[in-house]
Amino acid sequence: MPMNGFFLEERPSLGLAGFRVAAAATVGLHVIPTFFQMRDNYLAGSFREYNPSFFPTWALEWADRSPDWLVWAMAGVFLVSWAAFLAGLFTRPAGVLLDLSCYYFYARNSLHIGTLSYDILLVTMFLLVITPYPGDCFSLDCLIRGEPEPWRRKRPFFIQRLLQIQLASTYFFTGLAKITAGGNWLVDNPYWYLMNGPALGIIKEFPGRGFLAAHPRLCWLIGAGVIICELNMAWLLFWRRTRPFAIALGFLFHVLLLATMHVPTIFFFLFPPMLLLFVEPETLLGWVEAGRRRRARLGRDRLVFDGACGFCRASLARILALDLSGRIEPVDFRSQDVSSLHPSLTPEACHARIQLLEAGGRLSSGFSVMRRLSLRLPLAWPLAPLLNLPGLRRVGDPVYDWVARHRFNLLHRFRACRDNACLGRSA
Amino acid sequence: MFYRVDDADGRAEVWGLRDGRAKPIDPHRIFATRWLGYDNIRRNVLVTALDPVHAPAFCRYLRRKFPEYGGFSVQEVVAPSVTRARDSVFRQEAYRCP
Repeated sequence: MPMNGFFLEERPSLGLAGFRVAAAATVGLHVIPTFFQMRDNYLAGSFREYNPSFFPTWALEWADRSPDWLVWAMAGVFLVSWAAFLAGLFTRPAGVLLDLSCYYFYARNSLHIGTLSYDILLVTMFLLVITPYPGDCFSLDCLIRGEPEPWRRKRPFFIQRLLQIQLASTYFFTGLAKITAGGNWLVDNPYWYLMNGPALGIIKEFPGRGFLAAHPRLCWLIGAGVIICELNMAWLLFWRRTRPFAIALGFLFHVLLLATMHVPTIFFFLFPPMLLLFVEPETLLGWVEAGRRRRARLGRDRLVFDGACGFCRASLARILALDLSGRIEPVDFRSQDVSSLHPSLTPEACHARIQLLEAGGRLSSGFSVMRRLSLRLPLAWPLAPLLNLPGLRRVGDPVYDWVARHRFNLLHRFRACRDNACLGRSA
Repeated sequence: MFYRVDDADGRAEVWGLRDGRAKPIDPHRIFATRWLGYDNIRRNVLVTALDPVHAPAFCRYLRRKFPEYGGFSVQEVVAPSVTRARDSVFRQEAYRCP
């Protein structure tokens, strides 16, 4: 394949967008726990370690001189930018801020968060913030844009390709370092030593540990197997025919690591999703399309909206952007007779409130539609706990009704209504 | 990762000193940060404190965390062979915090 095709071919970015969520979750799971002991880890009087092989001296000195107010401010920056990057809100600037605050806390104290896997995570984060592609989908940014079917968006493939190369290189050099330079996996039996390590050591007390500790030859074979897998993962992942096997092998490897060793969360929450970046984005898109076709055959929920209202059309576009599985069929009551769908769908009812007629026959309206959609659309699940709080209808119903009543006048400022075309049809 | 693992194992222990007696301090109380699914103490994070370069800062940290003790002894504990004699360990004081 020509190099341009290998890196610059425009392909769906939905896999990269999904990976953004995994990377953000990993960063949070790795760094946020250290914030629960700010005094021990970062504030004045904390016990700190520095990583001069990663940072220049001036950066370490600057971080070391930070007053406590700056540490607290950076923790705030981290948390806000992390939440925004996870949710895909202003994805690129949020990612840049998150990346910078990750470096700051690493420079401030590498004792707890500094591991080789964290260095790898920082490289991954750098690749995720140099383009806006990771915010294309599964993000608030795509809702703000109101883009229909954002999962179809295509982008140059080079970021995903570089992430693939990063993972393949990580496996290869991890294997290589075990058998060259300071590594002792060929000439010694490190896996056996690990199994015999102290009770308060890195190996968990998993079933079978005692058996392995008593069988050095088996341990050596397992160690050799690990090295063979690591050295060969690169071509196994890049060759299309062996790729599914390699992805499954990688998953198994990381599950076993997590089950048997005290390895940082990164090993489970970053590397397995990174393996999924080897699934062709066209294949992912095909799975999405197949799911939508299956949903259409089973019957879709009808969302009855006011097609004469620009605010309603814009809101519908955002709901549809969340509808990855194709569950929603929009129906404009202005242009279609909806009374035949359900006897309660009168013009007055449809004019007053949005209506949702589920495939099973359940009808809901107004604020209840928002609640039902938050449960029925997987991409809206993060909103479900909030929208379905007991008693929220007391506030939600009047607020919804106020918005619905004013959608043709006050909300006419909304940019989707800028042409004023709906004013004459508001009756 | 885990490029080199040897038969010998080295760890750090911190003992609190009070009234002429020494009492071991649980390392999870020294570094209390908890993660999901793993334990940094078991990844031997405490061994960093053995380096005498860190002694002044670590002593300050210990005095703040454990004011009930009059002093601390930071010790290096080495098991020369985890496969042949796991429980046979050598212990020496790396430094003492007054």
